Amino acid sequence: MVKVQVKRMIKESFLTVDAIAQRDNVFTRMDARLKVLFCMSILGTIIVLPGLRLPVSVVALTFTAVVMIRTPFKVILARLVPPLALGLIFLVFMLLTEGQNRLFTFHILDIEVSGYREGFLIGLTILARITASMAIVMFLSVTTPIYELGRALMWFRIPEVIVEILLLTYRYIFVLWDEGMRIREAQSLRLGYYVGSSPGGWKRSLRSTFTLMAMVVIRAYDRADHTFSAMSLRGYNGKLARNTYGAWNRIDVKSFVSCFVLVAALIFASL
Amino acid sequence: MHIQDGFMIGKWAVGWYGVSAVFAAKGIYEIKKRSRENQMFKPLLGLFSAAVFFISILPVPLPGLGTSSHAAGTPMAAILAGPFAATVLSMIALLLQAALFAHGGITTLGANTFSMGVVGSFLGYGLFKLGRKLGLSLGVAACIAGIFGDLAVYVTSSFQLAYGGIHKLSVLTFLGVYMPTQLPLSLVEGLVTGGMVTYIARVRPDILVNLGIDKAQK
Repeated sequence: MVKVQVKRMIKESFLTVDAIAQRDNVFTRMDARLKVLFCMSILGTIIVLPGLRLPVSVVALTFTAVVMIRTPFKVILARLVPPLALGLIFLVFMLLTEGQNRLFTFHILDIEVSGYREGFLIGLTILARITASMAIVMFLSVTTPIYELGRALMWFRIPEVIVEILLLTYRYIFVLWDEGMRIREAQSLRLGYYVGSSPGGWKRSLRSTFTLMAMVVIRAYDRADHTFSAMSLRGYNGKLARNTYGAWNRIDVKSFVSCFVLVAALIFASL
Repeated sequence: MHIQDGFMIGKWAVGWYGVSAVFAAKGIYEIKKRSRENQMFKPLLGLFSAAVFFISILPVPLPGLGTSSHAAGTPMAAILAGPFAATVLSMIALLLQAALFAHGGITTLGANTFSMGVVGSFLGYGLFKLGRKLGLSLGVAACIAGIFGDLAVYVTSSFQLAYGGIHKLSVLTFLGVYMPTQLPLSLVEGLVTGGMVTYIARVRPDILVNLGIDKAQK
């Protein structure tokens, strides 16, 4: 039951992220190019520089920013849970398997279990890096709508084909999601999914799953035809209409200087 | 499944970006070429990418356990769109998953694209084509592609994690962690991929003919 609720929460948070990014606040008003540049610089620095100070500072700063713009708690939690769980499992694994200097020892059913200092430090570093990276990517996604991100990526010379397919994919995830969920609900009402572990039930569930997946592919194919017709009627000639950036204004320059100072300060503090 | 930001040393992360970029560049070239011939190709890839994204989120029932897991979807994408285009689709899906779901990372996008997009796509597509040449049915060939394409993703990820991390864990350790769960999942992914292709061939054979996967029945 808890697992189902967590899964639903993660899906809901995914669906609402772009809606949060469309709201008006100090970070959404910032130029998307600056946010991309800032977040990528921080990400690069996190994985290059040793120590825990930088990741911890980044986590503190980004969480403050994300809470400040009133990002729903369930969105933060849904983002935090999967990578953090992975990092914690890795920390425990490293603690118990790598190193020579023992931190503690205990016995379970006559088996000696020891934790090592070196493994703990490596596991902790990885956990801190995962959390900091996740936090900075979350900051970018809740402050930058996907079309703004696409525009910024094109400015950074990311191939137009990638950006175009990225935007189309993002647009149609929600449409196919709704259609897929409707089919799944209909299948469930016809007892297409067996809850349990009998081989017959599993076979029925598997059949329903691949029928649903095939239906989604068929719907995607048909919808592509309709989408192309609609795009052609609106003047689509195989290329995305570019919305180019104007000259930098004073607010952009101020934001750039602030970001630069912040990144430099974070790097300096972690050395 | 995907490698998170922070697991990989900087130089390895950059290196995997470089390797994946070669395949992605060829994929972009191919997409541009096919788009010139058929302007609907890019919208079609966008829709397929969204479909594969949705498929990779759907819970797939695991036999005997009463629980479920998720399919990778890469072999299916490679069968539908070709291996180079599937590399680009994987990169886009991974970017969206990292940005919106916190599945995988941005600095490890190159590594994840290589394991899922390059190895998963090429092996899956190669086995599908080989199976068809040997006279296997669409469903069986797609099933084999699904099983080995999925397994190859995890074997590659194990190598990437063992050689690119700040720890000293071996490939066998990562394989030992991955395989108990991924071995049954890859079998199920194979069955699902085979079932999907068979279903489409039965209900809408024109789609497979138009995509060049199957020949028109006379």
